[in-house]
Amino acid sequence: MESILKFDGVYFTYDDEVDETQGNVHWAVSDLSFEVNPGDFIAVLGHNGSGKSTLAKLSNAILIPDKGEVTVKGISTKDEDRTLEIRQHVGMVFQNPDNQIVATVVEEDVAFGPENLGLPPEEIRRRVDEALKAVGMYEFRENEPHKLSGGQKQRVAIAGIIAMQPECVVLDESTAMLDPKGRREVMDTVRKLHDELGMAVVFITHHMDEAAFADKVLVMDKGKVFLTGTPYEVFRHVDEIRGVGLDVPQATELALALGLPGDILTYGECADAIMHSLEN
Amino acid sequence: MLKDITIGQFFPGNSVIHRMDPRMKLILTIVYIVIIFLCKNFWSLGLVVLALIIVVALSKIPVKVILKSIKPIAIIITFTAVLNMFYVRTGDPLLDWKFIHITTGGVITAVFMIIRICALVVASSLLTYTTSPTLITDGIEQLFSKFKFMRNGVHTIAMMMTIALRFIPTLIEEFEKITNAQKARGADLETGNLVQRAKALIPVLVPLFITSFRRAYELAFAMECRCYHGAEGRTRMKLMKYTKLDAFGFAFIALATGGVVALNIFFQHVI
Ligand SMILES: Nc1ncnc2c1ncn2[C@@H]1O[C@H](COP(=O)(O)OP(=O)(O)OP(=O)(O)O)[C@@H](O)[C@H]1O
Ligand SMILES: [Mg+2]
Repeated sequence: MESILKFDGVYFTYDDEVDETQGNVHWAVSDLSFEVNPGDFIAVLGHNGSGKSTLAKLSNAILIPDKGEVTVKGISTKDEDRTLEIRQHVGMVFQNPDNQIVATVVEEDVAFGPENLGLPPEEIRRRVDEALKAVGMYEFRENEPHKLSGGQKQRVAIAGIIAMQPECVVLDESTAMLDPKGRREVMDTVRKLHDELGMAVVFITHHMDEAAFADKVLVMDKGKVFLTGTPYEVFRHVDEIRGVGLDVPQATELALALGLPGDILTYGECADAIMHSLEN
Repeated sequence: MLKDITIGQFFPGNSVIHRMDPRMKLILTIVYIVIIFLCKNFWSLGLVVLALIIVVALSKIPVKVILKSIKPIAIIITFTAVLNMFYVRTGDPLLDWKFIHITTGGVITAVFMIIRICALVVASSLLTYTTSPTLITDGIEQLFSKFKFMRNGVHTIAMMMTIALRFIPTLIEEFEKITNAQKARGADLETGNLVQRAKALIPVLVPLFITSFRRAYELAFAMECRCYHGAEGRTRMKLMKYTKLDAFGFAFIALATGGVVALNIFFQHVI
C-alpha cells in the first residue's frame, strides 16, 4: 500500500545561510525518516524545542526540507505547483484554537477550507454538516466561535480540517492549552476520526497518557528520532525517556517496578494485572 | 461584560428590512442618498422623508435608537445650517442688522441642509442597524466579484474585515486579561490626568501588540494549511439570493426616484 506521508532522511534548519563546512549548522530536525500509512495512529513525543512543530510544518509543505525529501501520496513537497493538493491530503490542527478560526460563525469557519478548494456550494454544505456532526458540534453551527469553550473551539478547528477530507491529520499539541475536560473531548474526537472515518493521525503531544492510544510512538530529541516502536516498547525504556526530559505513564512505571507481565499502559490494565498476580 | 458588545451598531431583528439581501440594501442606500441630493423643492424633499419614515417603521428599529444616530453629528449640522443662513444671499431679505443679513434663500438652504444630512445619516445608519457587519462585508464582496478587475482587491479587503471582526472579541478579552494582570502588579490605570493614564496604558498595549503579531503569524499558517490562496478559484458555501422582498425594495426606491424627478419638474425649484 502506498504510504500517505513519508519522511526520507529529512534535514531542516531555520538558519538563513547553510554552510555545512563550518559544521555549526543548527538543525531543527535532522536525518528524520518515518512513514505514515493509511489508518495509522502515530504519537510524536519530545520536550520543548525537540523539533516536533518543525516536523508538523514539514509534513504539508509549510516548510520545505533543506536535505532529504517529504512526500505526500507520492508528491514531493518541493513540487510548488501541487502544494494545494498536498495540503488537502494532510490537514493540520494547531495548539491555540483562537488563532486558527477565521470566520465569525462556526459553520462558515468550517466551510473556509472547502471554499478555498473551489467546491460547489451544495457539496460544501454537505461536507460542513458532516464534519460538524463528526466532531459533535452540529448544534453549535450558528454560534459565534468566541463564545465557545476551548475544547469546543478546538473541535470546530478539527471540523474545519476534516471538511477538506484529508487522508491524514496532523495535530500539533492540540490539547496543550485545554483543561482536562477539553482535552478529553478532543482526544475522543480524534480517536473517532481514526476508528470510524479511518483517517491516519499524527498526534504531537506532551501528555504520555495520550500517546498510549497510538499504534506507534516516535520520541524526538534534538531534532532526531530518539526511540520508536509501539507505546509499550518505547515506555519500557524508563531511564532513556527520563534522560530526554520526558515521563512515562505512571501505570507503566508502576507495572515495571512491580515486575508485572504484559504491555501495561493505562490504569485499568495496571489494576487488572495487579489483581491477576494477587489471585495467583 | 465587555465580551458581549455588539460590534458596529447592528440591531438584531427579523423585520422585512433585516431580511432583505445585503447587496440590495447597499445599492438602494446609495441610490437613496443620491436622490436626497436631487430634491429641488419641498414637495420632493417631503417625498424623500416620507419614504425614509416608511422604511424606518418597517425596520421596527426604535425611534430613540434612530435619533441617537443623529446626535453625534448634531453640531456639524447646526454649524452648516448657520453658515448657510449667513452666507447665502439669494431671495428676499428677512433681517438686516449691522453685519447680519439673512434672506429667505439662506433660510431655505439651511432647512434643506438639515433635512438632507439627517436623512443621509439615518439612511446609512439604518443599513448598519439592520445588517450584521459580516453580512455587509460579504455583500460588498459578492457585489463587486462581478467585476473581474476589482475582484481580488475587494476580496482582500473583505477578508481583512472578516478577520478583524472575528478577532475583536478575542482582543478585547485579552485586553481585559492583561489589564487585570497589570493591576495585580499594582498598576494604576484609573487615576491621574490624561497623560498619566495614557502612560499607564503602555504596559497593557505593548503585550497586546506583541501577542497580536504572534496571532497573525499563526493565523496565516492556519489559513495556508486550509488551502487559502486568495480569491482565485474560491467559491462560497452561502450564495446570496435576491428574493421577492428585494424586488419590492427595488420597486419602492425606483418609485421614490421617479416621484422626486416628477415633483422636481412639476413644482417650482426653490434651491
Ligand atoms: N521560527 C523559528 N525561527 C528560528 N528558529 C526556530 C523557529 N521555530 C523553531 N525554531 C527552533 O527550532 C528548534 C525546534 O523547534 P520546534 O518548534 O520544532 O520544537 P517543538 O518540539 O515544537 O517545541 P515545543 O514543545 O516548544 O512546541 C528549536 O531549537 C527552536 O528554537
Ligand atoms: Mg511546538
